[in-house]
Amino acid sequence: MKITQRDIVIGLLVLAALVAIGVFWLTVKTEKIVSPTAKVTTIDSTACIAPTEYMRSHHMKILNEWRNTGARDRRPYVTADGKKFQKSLDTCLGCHGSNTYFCISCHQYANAKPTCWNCHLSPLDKPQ
Amino acid sequence: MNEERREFIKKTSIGFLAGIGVSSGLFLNFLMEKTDASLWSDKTVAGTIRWGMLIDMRKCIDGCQKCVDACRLAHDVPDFGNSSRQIEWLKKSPYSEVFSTSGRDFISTERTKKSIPSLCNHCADPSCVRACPTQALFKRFDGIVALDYHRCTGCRACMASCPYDAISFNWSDPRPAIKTLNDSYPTREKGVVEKCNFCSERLLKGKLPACVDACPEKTLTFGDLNDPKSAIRQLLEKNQTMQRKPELGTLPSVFYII
Amino acid sequence: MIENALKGNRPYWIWMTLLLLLIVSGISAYSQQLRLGLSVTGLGDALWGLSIMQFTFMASAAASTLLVVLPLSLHDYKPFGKIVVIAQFLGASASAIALLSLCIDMGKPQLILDLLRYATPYSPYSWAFFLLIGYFLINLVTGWATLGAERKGVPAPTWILPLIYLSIPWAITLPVVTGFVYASFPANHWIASLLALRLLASAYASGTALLLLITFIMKRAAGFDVGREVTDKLVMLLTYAATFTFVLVGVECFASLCGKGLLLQYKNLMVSLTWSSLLLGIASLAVFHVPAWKNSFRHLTAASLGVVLSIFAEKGAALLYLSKGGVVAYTPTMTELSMVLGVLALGTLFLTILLKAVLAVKRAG
Repeated sequence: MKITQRDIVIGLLVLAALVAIGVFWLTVKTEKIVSPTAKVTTIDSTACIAPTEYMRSHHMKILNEWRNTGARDRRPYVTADGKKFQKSLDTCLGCHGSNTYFCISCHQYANAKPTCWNCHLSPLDKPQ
Repeated sequence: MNEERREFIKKTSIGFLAGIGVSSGLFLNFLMEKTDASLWSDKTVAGTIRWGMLIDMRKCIDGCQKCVDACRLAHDVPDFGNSSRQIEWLKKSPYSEVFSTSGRDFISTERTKKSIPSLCNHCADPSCVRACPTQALFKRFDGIVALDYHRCTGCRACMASCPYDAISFNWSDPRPAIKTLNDSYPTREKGVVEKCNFCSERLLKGKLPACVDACPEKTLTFGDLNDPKSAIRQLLEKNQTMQRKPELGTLPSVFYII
Repeated sequence: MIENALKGNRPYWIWMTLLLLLIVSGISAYSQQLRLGLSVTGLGDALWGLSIMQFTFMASAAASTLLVVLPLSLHDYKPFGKIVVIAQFLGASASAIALLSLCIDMGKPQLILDLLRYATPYSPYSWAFFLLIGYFLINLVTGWATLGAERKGVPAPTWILPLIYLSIPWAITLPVVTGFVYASFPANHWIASLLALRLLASAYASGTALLLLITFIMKRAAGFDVGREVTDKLVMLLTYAATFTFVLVGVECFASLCGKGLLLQYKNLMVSLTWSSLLLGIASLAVFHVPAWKNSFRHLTAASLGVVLSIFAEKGAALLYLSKGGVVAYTPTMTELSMVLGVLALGTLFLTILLKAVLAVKRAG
């Protein structure tokens, strides 16, 4: 098989793409070193992180993202209007936990079975 | 054709290299800025935290279980009794188990008769983190080896790679085995591993770990190993201390005065 | 081609029914494990048990495809063209069994895709999982494409060539990485380098023995004869690989005896398992060297079985010796046994269906 100019161009393009991916990977993977004095926000449940309508339809999306990143990413969740919240289920339960049936009433109706309560104590599990 | 091809390869390669050069100039922080030499050094680094603990066995009372009980309560650690499936974050075991590779010939019975508290060593070079196939175990900014329970697949590679037997597996549902449920901390579920987290949830609130607080004799000293003025560093300065299995090179952050 | 699996004689259907029964019992055992957690197994003090043993054995046995693919594709040894598809399908099925064995050992199998999503180059476990999936796909695709071409009477498509070349380093890496899963234990001071080598050698011995057994079964049950030359060559490769394996196992035993190693400390279990594995292996090996027996179908079958069993036992010994840095007594429960057998049966069923297609093509051609 003869190596043509076209093959070389394709080869170089592939190489360039690999390098680009490598650079991208490095930047994405290297976690920025945050100085230890940077305070982690404590649980703040004074306001909801998004309008009720949005939360009704998208809470699972946000919670799933928090679930995936909350343990290792120390940066707080920043809402559209600039408020910061700790990515923790406790942030939500600080308010909503007061209503024992807040989660379950809807989930039961929709037959949704979130895995949260396998570990986290649902308001139902907590002694009143 | 050959000449032409050579010329072409030459030019495109130069162009390619120039492209890399320019892009690294334009996007300096891409490759350059994030590199921190301290990441490859096990020396202490000012300005970063490395939490550590010192256990002074001269003060520890034999038979006292206050630290163990406090730990169980603080983290809803289940108690499966004395079985092979027991789950422990902090436990007290004899010298021969805690320092299993240290010499035991002719040493004073004073040393060997007491049971010694042992917990996750939060190693500076943790083998469990390397073994974990999903990166559920990871090293935090403050030296704590943390475990993301959401991501644990229960493959137990970390347990096999931990030389200190500090990780336990939930062979069955832990909830029924929890003696007193503490509603401020989540439980675990069946099929995940669990281990000591140096009470990172208490550190967040500015409190000391539960075991340190619970000890009536001040046996346990907790502090920042990177801060030369901390109490733990002062004690390390003045006393002869031991680490568990130092020959394995994991650089434990838990020290012992025997 | 696949439709041939629905045609067969009486023994074939008895065989299939047996496999299906084993699979059903495996599924019921697994559903019990899903409900109650891994407490249904005999594990506890021992971290890893029978299913990881099967994973190790099958992950390495899968690699033996190399011993057929390499002479054929690099050295142009034509007679192996007759069995290359069989070897590739064996590789694919063995990888599938190894993957499923890993799966039934996981505490939360619903997160299995996280093994790919968050894969990390530091974890040998992560590598093993990735390599197994790749090896399964490579062997299945190339095997199926070769078979399809053979059916139509045309040469195999050229696009499978890079895949076949890729499968060669892949097959060497697979047992090595599987060995590293155990070699990087603290009990071994992070690296027991001989273990990876031992696995590599035993991989070729056990896999070739399995391949030899399969060709014997196909000859007996379906009258498909691979021919004298291929059998002789396979026996030769098997003899080399097995000799090397048992030398390595012997070295390990010797080192343990000399260095007052674990073999002496844990007399009861370890010594019996390793020594019996070694003796069985050497006995089987002897059969391959006796000229009179070398041509006897019965003797060769028995010897191949001996090699397979011996290497399986040796895997168990390696595993029990390594986990947690000591040796612990471990008895698998019936539930665990059903699950492991179920996985084995599932893989065998898969292989049977594939081989049925191979037979149909070979008969027509």
